Amino acid sequence: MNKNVKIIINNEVYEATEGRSVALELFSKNFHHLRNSPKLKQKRGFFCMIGSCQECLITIDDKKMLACTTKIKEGMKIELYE
Amino acid sequence: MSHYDICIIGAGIMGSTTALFQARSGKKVLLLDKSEIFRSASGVNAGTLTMHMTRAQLIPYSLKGWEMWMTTEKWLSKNIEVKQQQGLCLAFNDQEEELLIERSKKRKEMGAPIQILSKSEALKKENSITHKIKCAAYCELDGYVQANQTGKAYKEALDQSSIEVQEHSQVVNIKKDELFEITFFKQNEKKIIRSKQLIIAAGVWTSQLLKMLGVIIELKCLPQQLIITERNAKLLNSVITVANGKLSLKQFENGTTLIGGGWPGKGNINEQYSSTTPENLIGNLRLACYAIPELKKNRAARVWLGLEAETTDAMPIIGEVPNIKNLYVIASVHSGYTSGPYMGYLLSRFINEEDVNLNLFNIKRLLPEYA
Amino acid sequence: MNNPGKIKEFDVAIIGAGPSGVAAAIKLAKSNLTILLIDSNEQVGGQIYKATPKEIAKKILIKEHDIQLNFQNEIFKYKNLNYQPNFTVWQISENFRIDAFNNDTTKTWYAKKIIVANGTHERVIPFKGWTEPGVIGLAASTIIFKSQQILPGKKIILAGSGPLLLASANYALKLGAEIIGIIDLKSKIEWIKILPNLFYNKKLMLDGFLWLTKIILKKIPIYSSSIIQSANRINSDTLEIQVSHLTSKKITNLQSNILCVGYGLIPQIDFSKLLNAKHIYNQDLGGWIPELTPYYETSIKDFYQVGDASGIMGAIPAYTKGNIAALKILFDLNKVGGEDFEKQTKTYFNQINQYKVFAKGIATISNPPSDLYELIDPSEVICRCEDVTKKEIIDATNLGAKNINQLKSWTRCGMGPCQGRTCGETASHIMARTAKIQTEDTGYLTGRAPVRPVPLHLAVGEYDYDKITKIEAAPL
Repeated sequence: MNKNVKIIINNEVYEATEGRSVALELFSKNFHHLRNSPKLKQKRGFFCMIGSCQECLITIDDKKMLACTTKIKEGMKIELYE
Repeated sequence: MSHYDICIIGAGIMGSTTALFQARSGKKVLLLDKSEIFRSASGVNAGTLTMHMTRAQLIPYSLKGWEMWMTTEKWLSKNIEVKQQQGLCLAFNDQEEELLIERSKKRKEMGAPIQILSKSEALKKENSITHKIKCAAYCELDGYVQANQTGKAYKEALDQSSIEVQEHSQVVNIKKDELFEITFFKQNEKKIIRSKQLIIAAGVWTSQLLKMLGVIIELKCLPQQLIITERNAKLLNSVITVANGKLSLKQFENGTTLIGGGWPGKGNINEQYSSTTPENLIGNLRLACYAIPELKKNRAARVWLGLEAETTDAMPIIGEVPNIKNLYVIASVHSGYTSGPYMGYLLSRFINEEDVNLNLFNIKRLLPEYA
Repeated sequence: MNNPGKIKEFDVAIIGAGPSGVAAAIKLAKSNLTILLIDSNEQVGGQIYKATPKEIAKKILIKEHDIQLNFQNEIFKYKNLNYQPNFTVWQISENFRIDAFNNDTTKTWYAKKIIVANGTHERVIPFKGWTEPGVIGLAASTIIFKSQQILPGKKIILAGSGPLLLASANYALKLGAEIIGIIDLKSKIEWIKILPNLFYNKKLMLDGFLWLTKIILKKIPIYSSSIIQSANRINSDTLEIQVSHLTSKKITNLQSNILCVGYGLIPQIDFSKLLNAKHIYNQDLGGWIPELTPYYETSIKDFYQVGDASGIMGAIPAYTKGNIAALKILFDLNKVGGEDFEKQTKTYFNQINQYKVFAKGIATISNPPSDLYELIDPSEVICRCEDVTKKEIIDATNLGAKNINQLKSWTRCGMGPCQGRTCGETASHIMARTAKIQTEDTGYLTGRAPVRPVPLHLAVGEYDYDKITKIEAAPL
């Protein structure tokens, strides 16, 4: 069975499925918009799922990581765009 | 056969700037490049404009070059991202402090407005610097230009001029009688042109071309490493260098940080291919992260190399070549971006027989027959 | 200089544990060579046989899971096979020094020979709104369904070309998706035309028919000869998708939670470019690939490239290619005698040849025609990393950039974190059509390290100032 763990997204606590891709967990909680594009400030989210396109780069536990290839862990702290 | 007043081989910053000023003085100019314009050193270097890294003797020229960079709309007809920023040169131990004070003194004597700051003063100027510095040299007249943008800006200026630009044109032979006869291959087609005057401004390939006219000089080819990070929040307000000269750091408006300092990789004039030496890559990054600890939060996006020419005495060669009338050379200015446009401007005036003294850069000093 | 001689050198390092990497690893490990198998995932299988993370319960079972499990079990049988999952290789240097990182640490290894089996990435064709969150790749969607066992949204639109449309639909349906529509670039006639090619792989063809039957039985609308005109988010759940028929120009408006779009696959040549291998342009095999001997050795001695990274043919030939490269290495190292070598060569080459016809059919039905790039609006973003639009690319080409590296220099297209993987092909086509030259004449972006962005805190590690490599000070 899937295990629910507590994570923090933008300073708020959420429940998430342990082991799932962070990108998908965020998307399922309506956090589609992960960051902004540099010049046109377009909303961006995950795209390739294999760590190639770099679109899903967010801050996890104070480090820059790709949401698509990172797994949900208990206590994970996620920060999206300002 | 086409005739020109002046032919310039090498469409980097030296060749292209000289070409622009020569064309503006009314000459019929041909500018040749074996590849595309600004694709070698001039297009891929760190773009640092600094008095700290400039050879002491070249300070007056760098100051003039710096002025030109800050006013590109006047001579390049185009604004490109050129930014004045304070420059801080860091010393991490007693030895380096001594070295820094000595070097800054010499540069200051040559006209650079450099002063030594204490650790706390330096940290006030740039708070992202490591607390492990002993002192820093400070200069207001530093800054940067984005090297990859200059090619585009020059292309626009060249297009608006009367200069004929031929890319992908590899020169294979140069003969001289009354005129220079230059043979080159463009897309496998052999072409020959004649020109009254000739400038060789071909960076690391300069000695190869001079050899075609029997002029033998030794030019080192230094494959220099550069590293750029992804875009990040603004961290640096200064151009950072270090006492021993082996680090340059700057953050562009777009948020990427460019790390340089002349750490060598592998490359030579015969191959397009160049590669990094892993130890030097890590070394360069460690030095950068030591100087600016916050930098560690970034990710490196790309590492590349550019080929830099260096003469045996590490000073430029600019001017006429002895015994071959109307043959000029401009190369190996080293830390050449700062003074680059000014050197091209000077050479153009020299060629037009205006009152310009290039004795300091005379190629004579390097020729075996004059030693 | 790269290896002070004290660090152990593996006989062979394999980068990528998909079918071709695993095949090579197993075949080589059966001799007593020391083998290193590095992979960025936490389990073997690559993208096609991607395992479900151990923490997640499987909702749907598919045959790929069994294959993956077999691979995983097999590689653990060999003591001389050093398997390093969860490591992303960011640099390979001349003497086959390999540097890799993960979220916590870095590692360095050395090898005498290298086999790169790093697979592919998605082919994109930009359209209005393609950067909107909720628009994802088509191959990406298959990973989400097969491996992550989740529907990012119940209502799904699948678009693009090729068999991935059917495969993705199949997995989505198993998870209970409501497929609003399948938007296929190609016409039904084009599919019929390649049927003879598909007979060369009856098993896959049968799978395809089964998937198609499912789709038809569920009455899922298939829009043939059609493309996505635009995607627009109308609320937090819903995307509005405009579908355009290529000839009639008829527009159909659809709504879904996500849009999955992709036009086939592109071989990943980051490492082969980095090591300066020669490359050739082969449209049928997916674009730029390294020039390879029949045993998949590149122009760089002892550097092999296998699997779909050597040209798109699919998972089964990929496995054979891994075997072929391994065979050659075994022969060169006298682990296999001449007669056996010839015999195995014949078997493997026959297997590959059988797939060539099938692969050609798949290429035909997947690869977009180059005039499709004309339909992209000039205001559309092509380089996502740097927000470079089609207009900027056209202007730079008209200014005189005829080579993609010059384009990059002048526009920043390809300068971002993905280093041109996502935008490179599109940019090349746009340049070529603007300058009226062949796509391959625009070249490819120079390969450089890091092949994936590397966190500096990991690259530098812990160190004292005195320990930093010393080089000569600059002259005064």
